[in-house]
Amino acid sequence: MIILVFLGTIYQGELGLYITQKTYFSSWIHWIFFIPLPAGRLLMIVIFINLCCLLFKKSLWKYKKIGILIVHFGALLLFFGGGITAYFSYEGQMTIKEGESSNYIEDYYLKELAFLSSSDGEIIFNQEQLIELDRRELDFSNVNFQIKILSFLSNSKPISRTESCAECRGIFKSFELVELKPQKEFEQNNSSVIFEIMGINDAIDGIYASMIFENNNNELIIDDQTITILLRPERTAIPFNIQLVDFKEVLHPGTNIAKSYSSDIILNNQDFGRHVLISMNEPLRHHEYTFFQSAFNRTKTSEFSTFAVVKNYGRLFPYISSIMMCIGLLLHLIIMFSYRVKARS
Amino acid sequence: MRHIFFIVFSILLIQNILFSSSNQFENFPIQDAGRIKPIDTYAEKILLSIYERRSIKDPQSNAIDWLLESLAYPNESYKKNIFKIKSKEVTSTLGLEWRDPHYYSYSEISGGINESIEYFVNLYLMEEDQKTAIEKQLTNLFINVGTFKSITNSFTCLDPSIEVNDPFIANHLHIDVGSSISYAFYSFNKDVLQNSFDQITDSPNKDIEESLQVIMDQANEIKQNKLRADPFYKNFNLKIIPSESTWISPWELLDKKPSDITNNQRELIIILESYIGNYKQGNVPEVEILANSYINKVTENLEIDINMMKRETAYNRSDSFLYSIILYLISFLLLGISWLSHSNLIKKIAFFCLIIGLGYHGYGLINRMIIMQRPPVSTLYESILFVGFIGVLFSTIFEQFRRDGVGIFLATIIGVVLHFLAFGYEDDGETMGVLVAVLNSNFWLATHVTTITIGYGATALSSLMGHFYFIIKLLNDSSRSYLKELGNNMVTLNLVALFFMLFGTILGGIWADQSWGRFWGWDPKENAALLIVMWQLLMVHLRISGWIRPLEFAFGMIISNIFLAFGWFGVNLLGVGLHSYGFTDSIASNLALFILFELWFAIGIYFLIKDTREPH
Repeated sequence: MIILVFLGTIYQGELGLYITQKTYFSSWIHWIFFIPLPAGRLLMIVIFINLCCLLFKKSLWKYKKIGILIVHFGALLLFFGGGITAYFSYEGQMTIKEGESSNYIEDYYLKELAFLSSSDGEIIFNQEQLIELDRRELDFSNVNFQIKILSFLSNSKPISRTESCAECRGIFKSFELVELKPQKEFEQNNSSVIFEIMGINDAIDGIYASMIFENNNNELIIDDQTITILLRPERTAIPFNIQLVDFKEVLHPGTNIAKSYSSDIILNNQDFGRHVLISMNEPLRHHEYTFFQSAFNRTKTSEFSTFAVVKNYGRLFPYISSIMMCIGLLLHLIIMFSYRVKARS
Repeated sequence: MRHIFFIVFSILLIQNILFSSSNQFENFPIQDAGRIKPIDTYAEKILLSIYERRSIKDPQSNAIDWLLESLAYPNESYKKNIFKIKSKEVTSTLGLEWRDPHYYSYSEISGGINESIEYFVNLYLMEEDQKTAIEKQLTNLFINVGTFKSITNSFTCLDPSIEVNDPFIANHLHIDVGSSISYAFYSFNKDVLQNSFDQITDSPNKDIEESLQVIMDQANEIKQNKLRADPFYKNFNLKIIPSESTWISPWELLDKKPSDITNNQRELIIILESYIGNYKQGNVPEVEILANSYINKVTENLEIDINMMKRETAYNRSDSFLYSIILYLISFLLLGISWLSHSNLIKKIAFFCLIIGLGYHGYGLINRMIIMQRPPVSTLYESILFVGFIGVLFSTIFEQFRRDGVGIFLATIIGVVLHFLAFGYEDDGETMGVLVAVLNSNFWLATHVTTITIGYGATALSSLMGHFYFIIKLLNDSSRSYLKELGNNMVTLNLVALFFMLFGTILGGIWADQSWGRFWGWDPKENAALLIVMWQLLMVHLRISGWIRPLEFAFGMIISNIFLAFGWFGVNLLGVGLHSYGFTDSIASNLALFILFELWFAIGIYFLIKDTREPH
């Protein structure tokens, strides 16, 4: 574990947080060339089982050892909570422009390809489906067509085409995409997807590309229906709606160092809402979701505020376990001390 | 014990009274780097960055006296050798001779810079991480020279250099004929002058018109000089005039529309002007009165606590950490003498010195806490001092139990080493900076950061004990029971360290959960703390289960120092993550050296001990 954490930390400087976390801590086995190293998940399970076994040790169930027992039980809970968090929690973010509102969370890492019809809903492919490179049928009112995902690049760069491409449509006509190594900061990756559309007509059928960082999305105009295609961070809807009223940044006077950030929002449950102020270290907790002030963005005309959103069922475990460990250690110290005093007298 | 604390307390009190000076200028509030501080702190900061010392050596002068003098006599200050140049290459770039001591005057350096000004501007604009060490020094020098020039020109608007010879104008301004006025006075009375000008347009008078023109030209010249002096900084420095949100410098005030200047601000400038005037004339009693009335004025309608300013100035003067390191050194020497001479009395004196040193150490930290209104753990400089304090405190308690000098030995070593380390970081400039938004929470600073820093202190101490154990074992002149006792102490100390590290880390997780929404994110600093915790856990379990003997345990303690150094300093080098509060630049090689040394010490001496014991 020590080796793993050490390596995992060192490599963060090179690979960035997300990838190291994935390869070192959230996986079962990590290969260093040909040597298998048990990775985070496996190690934690082993420690967890070890701790469980400890509870069956007869010699521990004594008055004298009760402190130790409680401490280890606390540690057990910590691992248990970790497991729950690892499998059942959800993290994402929500960016809102001042004056506007939102009711979905965007994933940090996963992308989705969305086909939005002007008259008839939307069809969405998540990242897993994009990677499968399958041929799929799309069915909107009056139109149905097929798409085939040709490739999904997690980081890429558009460059001007040198040779013309007859089947290419949209901006893909003038640009082609080069795959790049993933960035250190995962959010800076310009993910893109290349796909083929078939079964409409010769003018529309062809190869398209969509990128995350793109302003002009591909649009298919079929009769009186417009289908917009865009690649975007995967969205998860939440059962309420948040409106950003005002974002405030307070600086330490005379400097560029921020003293505090806060967002004034209206939390809407269906029709009625209330004002809430979210600021650094003071998140909003609503149902099982928690909203944290995490970033902001400023353009010439407007301000955007970004919240980290977390849905976590395991968040109470560390609190309970740390209190338990604290009590356990204190108990142990007191018991040890009293024994020592007894022994002396 | 109680007596000792009483004595320490009285010494500190007496010192406080002795050092409170009568020069009130040092307490004038100024806004700098995001907070209101006494101008004394500002002067020390500036001097530290250009002269690399807190006071001028030759001739002996305080930072604040130096600043006041430079403000009153800018032209003289340009001839003083106050810019430290660290390498010969820099002097040759500037066309200067490399001389000893390596201090150069403003005139010399600015001459060199002006000759290749384009180079310097380009250098200034270059990315910081692409510069070589020499280029960084040159950039710093360029910035320092600019800052200095800008500061010294802050009060040129208060210098009475415009002579008024015309009786008509003098009459209008209510001054004597032939006396001089300053730019500030001119600026405040512009409308009066305008009036008098309007009057003479009815009956044109060549003389008055001409002398009015002369006055205006002179005023304009002063202003142009100021602008020339401050091309980059735009009145950035010496913001001593309170204003609504950000404070402003005297020149900034005079650039405002007269209607935007409050009476209070105007009066402050007027007091300041006569303060400087009287200071130049050496009129001491008048200077003191004016300084007091300035402070009364400035505290009048703003929430400035002048006692806080005085406290900070007193803290600057007290040099608590200098005293504490000296006392630790004395204590160390006395302990050595006592061990050689087997004198119990000298050992007691050594312990006494240690306690007083600890008192100064704590007093300095408490002062910082009161001044900044937060726990003393927010910068690397502070955290080193705090870790030192904790280490010394724990070993003092340890000494109370054992009374054989080992505690004193460990305390003085940890105290002195960490003091030197902290002094190294002091040169970075601001040691009492404001905090970024996410850290700006006293509750979590007090719980998480303080706990983890106490953990660092205990870890450092336990590791030092590991070293000590090795040396004792190597010398092989101690009885078995003594070693056993020492080994047990080490286990206890490791448990204490583990306790604080573990709870500090968990508290950190809870803070992260509170403010970012995740308990654990594998952030480098988190991982490093986890590494220390895991290592200590491992050691405890190995020792309890009997897998390792005290000797190996001591070995493990020494290794824990490497983890500590990695967690405390090393992770900042990675340049990722949320905890990069430490300003670390050239420490990579020092860190590597330290780790190599610890490895060499641990492994080398371990085998030495094994070797010497094998034949028995």
